[in-house]
Amino acid sequence: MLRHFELFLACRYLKKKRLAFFSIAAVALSVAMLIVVSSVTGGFVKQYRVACHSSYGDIIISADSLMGFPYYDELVTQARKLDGLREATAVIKLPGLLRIDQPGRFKLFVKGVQVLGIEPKSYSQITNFKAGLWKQSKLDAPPSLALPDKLPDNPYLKGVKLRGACIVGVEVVCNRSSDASYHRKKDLYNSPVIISVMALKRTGLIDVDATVRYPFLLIDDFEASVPLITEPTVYIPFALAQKMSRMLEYHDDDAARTKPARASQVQILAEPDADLQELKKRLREIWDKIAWDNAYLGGAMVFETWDEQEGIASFIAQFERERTLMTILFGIMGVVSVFLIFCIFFVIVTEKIPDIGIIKSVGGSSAAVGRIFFVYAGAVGVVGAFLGLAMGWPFVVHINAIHDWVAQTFDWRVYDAAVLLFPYIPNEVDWYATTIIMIAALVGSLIGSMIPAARAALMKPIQALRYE
Amino acid sequence: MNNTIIRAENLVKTYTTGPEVLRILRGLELSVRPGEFLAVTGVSGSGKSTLLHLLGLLDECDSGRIYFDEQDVSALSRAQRDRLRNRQIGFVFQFYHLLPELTVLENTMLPAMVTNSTFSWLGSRAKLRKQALEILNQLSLADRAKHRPAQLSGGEQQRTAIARALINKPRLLLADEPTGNLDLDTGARILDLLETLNSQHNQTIVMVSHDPDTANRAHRCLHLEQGQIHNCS
Repeated sequence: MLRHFELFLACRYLKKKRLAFFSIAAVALSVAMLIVVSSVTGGFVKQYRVACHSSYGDIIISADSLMGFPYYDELVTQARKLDGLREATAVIKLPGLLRIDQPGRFKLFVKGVQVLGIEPKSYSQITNFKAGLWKQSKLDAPPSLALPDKLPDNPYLKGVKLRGACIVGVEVVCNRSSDASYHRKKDLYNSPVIISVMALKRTGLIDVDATVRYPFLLIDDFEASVPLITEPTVYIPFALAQKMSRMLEYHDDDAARTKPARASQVQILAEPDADLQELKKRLREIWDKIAWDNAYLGGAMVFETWDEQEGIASFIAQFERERTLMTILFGIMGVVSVFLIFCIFFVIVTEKIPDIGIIKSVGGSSAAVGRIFFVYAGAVGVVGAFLGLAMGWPFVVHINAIHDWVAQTFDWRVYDAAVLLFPYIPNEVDWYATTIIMIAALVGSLIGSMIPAARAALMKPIQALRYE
Repeated sequence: MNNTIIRAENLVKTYTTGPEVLRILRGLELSVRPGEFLAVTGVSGSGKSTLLHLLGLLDECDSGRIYFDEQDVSALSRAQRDRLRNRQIGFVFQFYHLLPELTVLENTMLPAMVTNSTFSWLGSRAKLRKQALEILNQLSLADRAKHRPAQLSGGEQQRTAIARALINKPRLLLADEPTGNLDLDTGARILDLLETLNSQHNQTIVMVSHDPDTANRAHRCLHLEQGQIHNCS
């Protein structure tokens, strides 16, 4: 058991030996560096996960076909009755084109987009849609895709028969600048845009003679927390999307019966503590019953949690691998610190050989001598780890401000939001990783001191006393 | 009551340096009675310090036995030897051997710190501190209690070393050339101090010195030559 004098001497050596400050500095710098690297890389993973999660809800039920699936409304109604489920909403996804043609104000602009037909109220309960809206996020009312009662006074609206309002993903009409801001062309809002979608025949073939194009009033834009991970998107009312994609209910003369309306997806928000896999299983059971009751033998249905979606899981795994790789690379520098501690403690023990003789001459055991240097190294590790935390923590929290200052002062921008995936460098400390890093610093310090401490412990008292 | 506090029997100690074998002690016999002030003299390299280190359990002999209170110390475990050294034996070295990071008071208390576990130290710290200050007062070092060794004269450092040797009230005090690094006056005062300890507190002292005048201050003088003990002439 550790005796008082061992702790006392270790602390006194720590206070008086300046050489140990180099060990502390090495540990502190390694810890600070690893906290920054781990928090930032971990933050990217977290940002990506949060962005994906908040864009899709918890569970996505989709048809494995552009034709969509029927009985979605029945599925939504029954799903809403499930325990552990908060909200469900149907969505239509279509590939389309956005065209802006306002001669004298904007050049002709045509862009391929993903057209998303949504019910804004329920959709914004499931996703972070409202929070990302430029104008409507500030309103208390739920977001809306309705045309205003009074149309804006805009010459380009003259003679245009608007079919509805739309919201565009901000990336569709603006470029992100290096400081992650968007310079919006304000004239673009409350102006008409044309949305065209590829019309499918009921047989699933492209109807080349009937491309659907509707004029919409552009009323707002949506800024996702990680915009570049999603396709450029345009949001329109669900009913209009259903009409444009020919997913409305219709009467099949051949079959002599009415075919129900269809949707591309149903998105689900679960209660925070819900077991998503269990919920997914129950949703599948509900769907199987609906399909059975209606004798629906359509295409395969895909039930996925948000992170099981194609692309997301592999992207996250790739991020995690990159994070591990970065941590290992910087961890190698931590190993260098361990070696530095070994060298410094070897020198300290050599310098302290007469002390070892004195301690043994007054009855200190070999184990006690070893423990003094071990505790000394442990104290170096603890002090270094906390100093590293004191450096790394504020650095992470203020990393964007520091980066901006460096960019302004030295005209050197390392992190260019215009070209990188995330708008900001993550600035939240990963406390789990930080705890592990600090424990590793302590263990590393102890490992670094092991051989010098053993050397001190095994030294014969008379050897130590006679050491010149 | 034992007749001897420490007794060496047929002690042999050799040092090997390269091809050369130095036979320092060759079957040495020695016994020290309780309360005795014994001096061991000898020329430099005769083995005086080696003998003291063996008696103080700081080193191990090649053969022979050492009895402390008639108990064979070679039969003791390393931990028992450490404990015996801590509680029963005090050392005073020629070069003082104080810990430079500690104050005079802390250096004095060091053996007591080693004796006590963390919990017993918490309980006895105040008492031991008082005891250390008393010893320092007796050695005229009370006003130096908070000084570090580097701030002391040679005589003060040696008195601090004596205070440290006495803190655990050892039955045997071993002094290795205690005046060897001091000027004559200071050395004389240190010898006065040892004499006082012996006469007033019945402290058993074994002192080695190459200087016959220093050795003459002891009750009994032995001379170490050719690895054997002889009476001083």
